[in-house]
Amino acid sequence: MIKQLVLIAFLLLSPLIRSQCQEDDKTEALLEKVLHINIHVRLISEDGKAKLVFKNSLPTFPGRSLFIRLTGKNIQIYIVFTPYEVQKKPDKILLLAQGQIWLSGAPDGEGTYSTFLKNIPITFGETIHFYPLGVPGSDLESRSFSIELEIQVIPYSQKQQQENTQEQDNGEDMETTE
Amino acid sequence: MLKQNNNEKKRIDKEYSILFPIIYKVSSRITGDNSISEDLCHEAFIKYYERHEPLPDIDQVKYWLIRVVKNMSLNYEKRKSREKNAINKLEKITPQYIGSADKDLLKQETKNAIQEALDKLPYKLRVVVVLKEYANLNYKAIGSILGISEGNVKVRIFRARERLEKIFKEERIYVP
Amino acid sequence: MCPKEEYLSAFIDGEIESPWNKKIEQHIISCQKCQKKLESLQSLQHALRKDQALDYLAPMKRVKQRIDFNLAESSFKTRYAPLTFWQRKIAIPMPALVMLSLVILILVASVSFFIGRHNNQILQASSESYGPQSVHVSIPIKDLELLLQLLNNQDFKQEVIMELPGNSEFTVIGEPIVIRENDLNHR
Repeated sequence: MIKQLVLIAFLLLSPLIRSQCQEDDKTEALLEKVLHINIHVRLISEDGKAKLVFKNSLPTFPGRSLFIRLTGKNIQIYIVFTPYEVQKKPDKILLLAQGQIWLSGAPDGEGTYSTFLKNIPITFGETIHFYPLGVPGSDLESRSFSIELEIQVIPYSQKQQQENTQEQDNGEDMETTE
Repeated sequence: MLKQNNNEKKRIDKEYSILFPIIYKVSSRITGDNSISEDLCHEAFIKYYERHEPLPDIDQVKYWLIRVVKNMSLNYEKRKSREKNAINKLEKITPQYIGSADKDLLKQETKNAIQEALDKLPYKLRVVVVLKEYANLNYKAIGSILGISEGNVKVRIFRARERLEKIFKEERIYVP
Repeated sequence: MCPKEEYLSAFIDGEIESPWNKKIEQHIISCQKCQKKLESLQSLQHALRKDQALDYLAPMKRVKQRIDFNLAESSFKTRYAPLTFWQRKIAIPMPALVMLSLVILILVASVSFFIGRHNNQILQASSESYGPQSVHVSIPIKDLELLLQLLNNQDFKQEVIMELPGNSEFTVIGEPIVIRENDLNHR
């Protein structure tokens, strides 16, 4: 009698167990796809000095967007980063950066608005530098800062490794010359 | 259990690869914007897959998706014109499109004359002509998607064509 | 008697039933005016249809990826064991089971979210600021169990807002540009 009850219980529960296993497998599969987007924001003065102002590490998945906003006294920069997998290239990502730059007016009261759309092919761990306002030093007359976003895409599996080396980065000084 | 899932997945994938081009085409022609259309198609398919019961045949699915994407395109259209009005009203901001000259995958190259002409059509006329010429639907199907009579479809398509002809003449676009 | 032009338009769409389509055909044979109208309708249709080239392959793949992901996450989002939510670096008490929108304003500090299952942390999001700038991370939170949906559900728009240092004014120096680290080192 007990044997039969156990058998019945097992039969009834096994779909649940199996689906729980499937769910765990799905979780694992999904976690495998997690991507960490590291974004370090620096201000670069006209003489090339860089100052780190923000450090972000944001997890996401291929196809899921991250929304970033940089706001300042006379500026708003909106950026939507969306990573996409690249067929047949498991260690490469296509990072889409879509954004807008709003600058409010000078004394004459006119503001400007511009948009950008960048397709950035990037390998895991590779560092790229994004200058939404343009490359520092290219306009000799400018006395304003340029903004740099240093970006890396790290897959979930490598993230743990990076944790260990991050301690070393914390001592970044304010006078790095690029 | 697993085998059934695989067959089902294959069927869904096949259906997707047949329908996506049509839905994307329709949406792109209505909104005039490829990247918006991509988002709208994504939303439309998700809505479909999240339904309790899939529809019995692929044509039904097609009509359903077209209806959904058409409604989304209309909402986008309305939002776009509200945004334009809002921007115009902001005294101190002059939209100056510095823009990106980057050549990339998603950004539309300079729109061709046809799409620009379509953009100039009022929404109601644009939808019928897109459904006719790019989704290849008959008047009955168009009528049922839009909830209007076949007679109304006929008149709208005709008006759309007249308008397009006028636009082509004004822009001196060569229609071979 | 010429048919109304909208009937000619319907005619080229094959929407006129017999016997009227035959009648129109016969009429056209001898009517120059209608012939001309028909031709101009047909050439317009031709121009529209010829313009079919739309690259749909790349968008099709991208959308498929997004859909596959959305479907995978929705199939397990109800299945999680209760999560523990724990912040290590800042001491803001987190009430459990609260329906609220949480806005965290950090002046000199950092925000980290650990999202774990059974005390094993799975994912970490962090935002730090250096100096007196602020970071705002706004996340609507329904209850702790749904916290994982943060990462899964596009509806929870997780926006990271960084306030740039106080008095700096910025201008556009040039076109937005991406430079790879390798190229930079050669500058």
